[in-house]
Amino acid sequence: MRKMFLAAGVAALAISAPVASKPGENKGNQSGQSAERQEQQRGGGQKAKANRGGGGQQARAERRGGGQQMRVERSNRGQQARIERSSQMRFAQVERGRQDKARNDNRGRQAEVRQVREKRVERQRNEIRGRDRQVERVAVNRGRDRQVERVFANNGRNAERVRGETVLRVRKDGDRVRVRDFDRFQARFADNRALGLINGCPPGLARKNNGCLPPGQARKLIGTLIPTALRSSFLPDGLRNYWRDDDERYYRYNDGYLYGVNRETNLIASLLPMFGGGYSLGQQFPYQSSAYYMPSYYQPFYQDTADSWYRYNDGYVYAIDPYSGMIDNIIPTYDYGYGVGQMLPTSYSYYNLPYPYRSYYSDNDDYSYRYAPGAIYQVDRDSQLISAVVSLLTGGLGVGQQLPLGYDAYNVPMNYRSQYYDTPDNMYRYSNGYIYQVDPTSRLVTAVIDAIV
Amino acid sequence: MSRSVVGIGLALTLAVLPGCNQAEDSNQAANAAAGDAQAADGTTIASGMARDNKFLAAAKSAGLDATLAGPGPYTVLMPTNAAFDKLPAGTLENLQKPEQKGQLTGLLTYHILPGVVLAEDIGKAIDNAKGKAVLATMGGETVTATKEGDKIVLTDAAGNKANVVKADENRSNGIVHEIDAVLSPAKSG
Repeated sequence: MRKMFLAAGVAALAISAPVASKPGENKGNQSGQSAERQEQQRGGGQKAKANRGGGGQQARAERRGGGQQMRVERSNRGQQARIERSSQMRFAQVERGRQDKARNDNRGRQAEVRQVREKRVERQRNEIRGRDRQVERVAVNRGRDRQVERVFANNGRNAERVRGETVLRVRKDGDRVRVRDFDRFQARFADNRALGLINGCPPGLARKNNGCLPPGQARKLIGTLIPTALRSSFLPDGLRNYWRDDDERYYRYNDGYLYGVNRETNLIASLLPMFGGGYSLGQQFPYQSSAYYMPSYYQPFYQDTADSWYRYNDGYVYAIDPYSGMIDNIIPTYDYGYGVGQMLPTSYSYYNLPYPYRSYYSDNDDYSYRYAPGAIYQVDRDSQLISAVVSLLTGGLGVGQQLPLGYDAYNVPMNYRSQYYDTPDNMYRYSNGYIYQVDPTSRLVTAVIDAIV
Repeated sequence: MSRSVVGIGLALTLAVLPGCNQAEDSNQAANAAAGDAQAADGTTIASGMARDNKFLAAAKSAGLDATLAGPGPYTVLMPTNAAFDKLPAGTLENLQKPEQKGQLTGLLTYHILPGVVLAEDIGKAIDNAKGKAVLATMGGETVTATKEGDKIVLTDAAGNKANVVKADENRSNGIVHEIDAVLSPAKSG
């Protein structure tokens, strides 16, 4: 089965034409054991047709060249699932707080313009309304929710990857279920990567003070003498307002790190990464380390695609190009304490707030507002530094998902308590601007009821 | 002054609620009465904290004061000043240094819960869960709530306990419960 699978992939490689402007991929999910299958199409352009079969279940993905729709037929334990998708949307960061819980990046309007790889794509709430008439359900096999997901790139690169997370989501009117299995990821990446040196930094090696400094190495600098060359390496203008030299300490800046140096001893007292934890855009991500798996808290929002893999380190999510290993985008997460006085990566550059919060915060001349999982940030336009955290957000709830740990208590805001109160048949929970209905016996989130803040 | 404020707050609260049912009516009345003598509208969690409030000072260092003045709604488990004083000397000052921002943020977000969780809701959750309810925090970790007699006791990841000393302080963007110890998100305490 697998051989046929791979052969099909090779055939897909041979057939498909390289896509110049709009790469996309077709994601297929197949497992002999799994009852759940899911496919995803991204981007437009010419696509190959991939035939897969196995385990008695057939999946067929068809792509229409030049068209914007993909239709996937698959049977899943007797259930039919049909996906209609717009091929515009890239698989990028998922916007949280969405009513559709669009974990799946692949949702978008037809008219949506395809984003450049570095840009983030907004999830559209109306996708759950009209667009996706897809109804499917996940049947968990024998109580185990282990699935295998395979990614097919139909732009000439067969990035078959199997990843492992046991994330279970039900797709219904725009939601999606996907369960993934982790383990083989590292090996595949090694097979597919294209090695290269960036900025003179060999992969996996740390060289001080020239931008390849991994955070672990950076921490070792604390307590050492500041290099002479750095003593006059003053802060960029924007940073000077936030980090001012004082009697105890002076601040210097180099290659993405802010050094706080003790005046008396000239020893480095603190090291603050200004850009993405010590890694910068265009740098190679140290793939060799195995410690970059995404915490489950973020997994629903950063799902690997054939064009972009997401890794996590020290509070930052890195979007990396699977083939070169280079960092395409850096997404700060609030659990690192990324906040006031720190810089937002330049690619993180457009308004992307979840819908419930948009009425509260819109960009103006002084400030722009940006969202990353965990928080909504207010960014000073001149300095591009975060000037305030205006809202905290949780991991969010997803329709069809289990109610996560910690939502035992009823937490609906006061104004809505008279409408939505717990009964033996229904529970209501609030998260990130939405009120969710939860089934008390199964503890599954069944619907989004209301959007408020 | 406070009485009329409570009265206005009550009237406004009851007036805006559409189709209140009986249970919610009494719930609202109880909450408005039990809460502070502050109107639910207008006072945010941040502005409701006194100037010398240590939690607020810590929040300012972490950049969270704007958050607590934002739309929320949040439930804040606020350690009293006395609770902060119980920490080893210098801990709070150390945490407010720039390089400790990550730690401080983790600590503060561990005290903020999503949505509005009243003491009564915690109590019900404890009962439904047969004695031990788990509450999610904004920081990602969880706090365990139990009951000792009538009082609610919160246990953090390290096993330290805190009692709720004053519950259900109503704010425009959430609720504040005062607790008598600082909770720690780290397992090693």
